[in-house]
Amino acid sequence: MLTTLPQRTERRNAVVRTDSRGTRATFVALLLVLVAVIGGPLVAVIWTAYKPISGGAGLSGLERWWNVVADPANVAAIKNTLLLVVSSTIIGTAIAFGLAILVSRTNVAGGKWLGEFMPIMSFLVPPLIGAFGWMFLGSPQAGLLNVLWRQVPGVGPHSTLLNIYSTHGIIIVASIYVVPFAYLYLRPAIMQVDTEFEEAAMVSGSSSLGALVRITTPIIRPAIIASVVVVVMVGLAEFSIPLVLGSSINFQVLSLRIWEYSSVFYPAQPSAAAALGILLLAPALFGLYLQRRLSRGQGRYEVIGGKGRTARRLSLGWWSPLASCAVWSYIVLAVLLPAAAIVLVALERLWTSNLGDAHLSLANFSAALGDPYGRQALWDSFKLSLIGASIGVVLALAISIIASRSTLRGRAAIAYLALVPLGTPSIVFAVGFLATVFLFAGALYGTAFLLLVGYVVVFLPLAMQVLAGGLYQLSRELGESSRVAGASFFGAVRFILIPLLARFLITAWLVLFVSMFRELPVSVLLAPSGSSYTSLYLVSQWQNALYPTVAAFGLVIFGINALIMGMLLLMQRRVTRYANNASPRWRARQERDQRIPGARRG
Amino acid sequence: MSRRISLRGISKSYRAASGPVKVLDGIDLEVGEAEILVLLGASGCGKTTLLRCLAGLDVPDTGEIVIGDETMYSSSRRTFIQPHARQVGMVFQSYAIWPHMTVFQNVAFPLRRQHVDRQAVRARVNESLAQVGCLELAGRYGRELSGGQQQRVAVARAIVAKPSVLLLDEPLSNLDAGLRTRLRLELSSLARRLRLTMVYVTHDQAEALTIADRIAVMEHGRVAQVGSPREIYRQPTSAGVGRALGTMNSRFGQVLGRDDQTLTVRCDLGVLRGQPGNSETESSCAAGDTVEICFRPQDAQFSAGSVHEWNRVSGAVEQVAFAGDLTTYVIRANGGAFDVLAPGTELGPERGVEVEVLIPVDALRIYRRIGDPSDARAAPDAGPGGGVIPEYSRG
Repeated sequence: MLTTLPQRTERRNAVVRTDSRGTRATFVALLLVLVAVIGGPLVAVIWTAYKPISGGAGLSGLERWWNVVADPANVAAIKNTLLLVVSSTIIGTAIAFGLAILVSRTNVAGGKWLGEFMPIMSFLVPPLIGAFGWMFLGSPQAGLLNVLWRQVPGVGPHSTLLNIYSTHGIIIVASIYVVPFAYLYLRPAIMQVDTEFEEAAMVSGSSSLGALVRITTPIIRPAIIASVVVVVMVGLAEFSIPLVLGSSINFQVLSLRIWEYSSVFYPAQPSAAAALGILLLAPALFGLYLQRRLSRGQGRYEVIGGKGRTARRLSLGWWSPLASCAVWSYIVLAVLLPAAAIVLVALERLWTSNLGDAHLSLANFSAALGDPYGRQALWDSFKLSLIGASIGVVLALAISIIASRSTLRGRAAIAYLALVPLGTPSIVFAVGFLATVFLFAGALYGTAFLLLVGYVVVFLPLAMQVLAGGLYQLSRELGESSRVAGASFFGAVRFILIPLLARFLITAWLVLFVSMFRELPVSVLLAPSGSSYTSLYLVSQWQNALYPTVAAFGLVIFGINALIMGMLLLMQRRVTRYANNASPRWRARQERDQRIPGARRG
Repeated sequence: MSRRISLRGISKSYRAASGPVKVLDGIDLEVGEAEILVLLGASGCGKTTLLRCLAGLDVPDTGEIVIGDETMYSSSRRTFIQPHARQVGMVFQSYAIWPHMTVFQNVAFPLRRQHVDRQAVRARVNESLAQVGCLELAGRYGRELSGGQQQRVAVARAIVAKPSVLLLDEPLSNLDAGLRTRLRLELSSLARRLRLTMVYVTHDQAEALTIADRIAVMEHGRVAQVGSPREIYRQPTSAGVGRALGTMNSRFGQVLGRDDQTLTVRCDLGVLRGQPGNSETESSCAAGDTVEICFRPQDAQFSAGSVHEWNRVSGAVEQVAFAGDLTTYVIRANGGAFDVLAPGTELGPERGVEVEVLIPVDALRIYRRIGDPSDARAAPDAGPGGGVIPEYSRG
């Protein structure tokens, strides 16, 4: 089967092979691996949903699929998913847009610092721990907000300020969770709009706010659409927040139903899980397609403007204090408050409604770390993430370099294939892995290896995106000049591309490690029975109502993540030292030169 | 030892949304040993693509590339030599100095790939850096260099492995004017000293004229004319080539008649006599044909000097643009306007004055208009300069 592929290529090409044997072999190997681990599971999901089963009562695949979808519980889950996705997209994108524009374009207090901090936020607060934070704040009885509320004179002893165990509570938390995702798309776009556009509007008689609304906003419309698409995909895959906040009021979403069909109900109903998976798969893949199309024409990185941009911040005048106030109260309410709640609960002996007799101690931490299961979970997650992140970065590097720097036919296809998991809710992929394993490799079922493959596949697109940013910044001529200077394709990769991408490789590794270390939806389906990983351990402690341990363990996970992030950031600084020993003048000149648009080819 | 280069029937097209775009359309070119060939043309004419094909960074669809006696690419024989095996030196437009290496490491890179031993590397890198006058920069990183220094280091890196062929892709376009003029001379003297066969891509006519042994003017993926700088400048075989090497007054008109050497034409400036610009015009142009009439602003004069045959055009000075060393006069005559370029030291006519302009008959070149749509772009617009197409006017 290997021999037919090059022949086909050659016939269509009708000319000359221009890539070395090694490059071609690597390409074919990557293609086979990706088809197996990405194409395979998706096909398996569809097959599992439609394949004839014994005891199927003579129903066709489509009829059985419809029966699953029309099940009242599933209809409710579909409605809830839609509600959650639509409302969190609208609220989350609006907040992110406001934040991005205020922080990067106006003289809001602390805007510069916030601009840098916001994108990291989603990594500092994983959805599961975020959901616990809100639980500690907004639980109707013992939630800290409600306890404090009852201290206000004239408020009844059973009155609540915020009931987080409710549809709107879940929507609030889900909206806050998606803000950083939207922000990640909106801020670079806003930063790239030349301020001279706004200045021209102001000279023409527009107010500064008017300039933002009438000039900046329409210019970045592609980025707004792209961010909406991403937020919708994140919302479709939402798992932890409805799990923690929705269980007690039976707020079901599709991802939770899939989990129940796969591993809560006995016997498991894989075909029902797959049937619901298809419901999530279709819109997500469409969203991915839409996003790729959008970012093709109007590149996300494209500098919009005539000459290089000048970073000038608009003064909002009268509105300035109000805007600062709005931005900072959002940060306090959405970020600091849940974090504070977790810290407080972690330090308390018991999470009770009595704030008065709190005995602050570190007992919960020693309990969390003293539990051998907890320690095992940390260690196992650490090992798996270490290996997974390393494999993922190597794969992503190989794929993105072949896709962007070789001349092979079909090179774009492997990059596209590797990005498919981005649009696929990870729990659907997990279902696909289970189905594939049942069909072809039963021996792999319940092994850590399967979980490792799952982690790598699901997070591969993240690493690809980080490296794509790096490769985009690297002029092609840097690699090409090494080819002319006598380096083979692999030589160019080894001596030029890898050293120059080092910073991005480290970032990609970091992103993968942190994501894998706290992963839940894939772990919940693929983890070997009896094993425990950080998120699974947290969920089990929560199910047993050991709330202070949950808080303490959550903080431990946060601490480990922060530590690794800090270490890697330090390493990054060392790696980029060569860039820093240039004098500021040369660096400024260099940056200016790189910004001259359209000066690349004759 | 230098090598010759020959390109035969090189074609290449890109697939675009609107269909295939031909970037290179049957290019045949020969570059002799130790010759400096400049590829000149507007952006998008395919000159950079052609250079990249020579380096092996782009691949033609059809044709054959031979450097020395080695076939680097042949579509019929299915040969393709990888860029790193072609043993050519190349200077990129952005210089592509690797920022993570020092200048020394940058220049040593080609030698390291050939596994030259350390002492020889040191000696040859120093020699190469000395040749471009950058020996003292060896310890610096790429980002610590100015544009001119980066350019020199890029040249040092391109010649360190003693390639016989040096390719340069607009190597001076990112530098300011003064530096450009100096480095231009340094580059050509270096190439002659090392007896390099050099292919040099540029869109700058002054650069092309000063540096080249021969110039190949490219238009729409084709070579429009090849020849010595003087030949191409004085006797362009099409209006487009003429414009590629400097400003041109250009009018449309009709042929009235012809004698042995010259054609008589009518245009909005009056009745003029001039030379057929190419063999096609010479052999087949007859009365009534539509032609394009071109002459350089600096060939037109206000007073007769030597023994030329002149066209006399009377008109009024509409604008005087004094630019130091040169002065441009816009003359309105009959129905049209044209430019006259005179040395700035001369005291010329004032604005509004009626003058008689003399245009040498042998400087006025006439091209038969063929039904070629791509040529229609050359139609002179009625801007203030009459027929001057501003695209090539920068110096």
